[in-house]
Amino acid sequence: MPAHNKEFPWMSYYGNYKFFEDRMLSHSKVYNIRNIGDGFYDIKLIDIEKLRVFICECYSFGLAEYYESMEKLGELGAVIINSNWCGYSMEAKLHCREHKVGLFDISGFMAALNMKNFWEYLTKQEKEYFKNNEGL
Amino acid sequence: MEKVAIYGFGSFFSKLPVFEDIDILIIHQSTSYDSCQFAIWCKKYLLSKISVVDITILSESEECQLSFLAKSKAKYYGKVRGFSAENNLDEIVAKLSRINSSSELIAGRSNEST
Repeated sequence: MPAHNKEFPWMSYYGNYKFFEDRMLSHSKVYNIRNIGDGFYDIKLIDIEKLRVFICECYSFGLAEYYESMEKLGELGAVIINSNWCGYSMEAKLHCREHKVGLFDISGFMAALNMKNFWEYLTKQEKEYFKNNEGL
Repeated sequence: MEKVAIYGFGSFFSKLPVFEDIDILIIHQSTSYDSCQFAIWCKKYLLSKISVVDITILSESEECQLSFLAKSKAKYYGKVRGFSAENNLDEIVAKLSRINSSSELIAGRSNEST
């Protein structure tokens, strides 16, 4: 099951990043990508500097796990959650957004790359959620 | 005082003879930095005590939003309080070691699967 490594990073259990790589290489805003290993990628975008991305396969991703990620992995431009379960929490999403770090699933990231401030991208459901939970 | 609740889910807790790892969920009180750090500390402690474990951390509000307990059918195994955290966690590890007779949980040992 995902995240079976005791230590960071939470690599894909099956080491399968092909889907992500194919999507990135087909994106009109992506100049090139470099697989650094262990779920890390440097993505060179056409209009901004290199973006360090970590693909995390986990049951869910909350704020504590974001803090742990930053502690273990250093500065990241975006965290992509590859989860068939719960995905990321809205608290983690909001915190990352406020710190100009993107937190997405793969399809969200694809959409976000079309924005200059990609970390601000919200899905329709997320916009609705934050509208209904303004105190969050 | 910080506290967390510990849950178990997945095949190990269903007492299946073959399992890949032990899935544990830590639910902490809030998304404050201190609450998150206490949960992370608990995770590290459990990682040092249990082999082949996968630990998920969520705050109470995050769990509510994601409905993780319901989706995972997780079972409650105990509470950990700041002032007695190591003792509480040791008791929980002892409980877990009695769950699945095909396993050895102490770090450094391998699981036995049939």
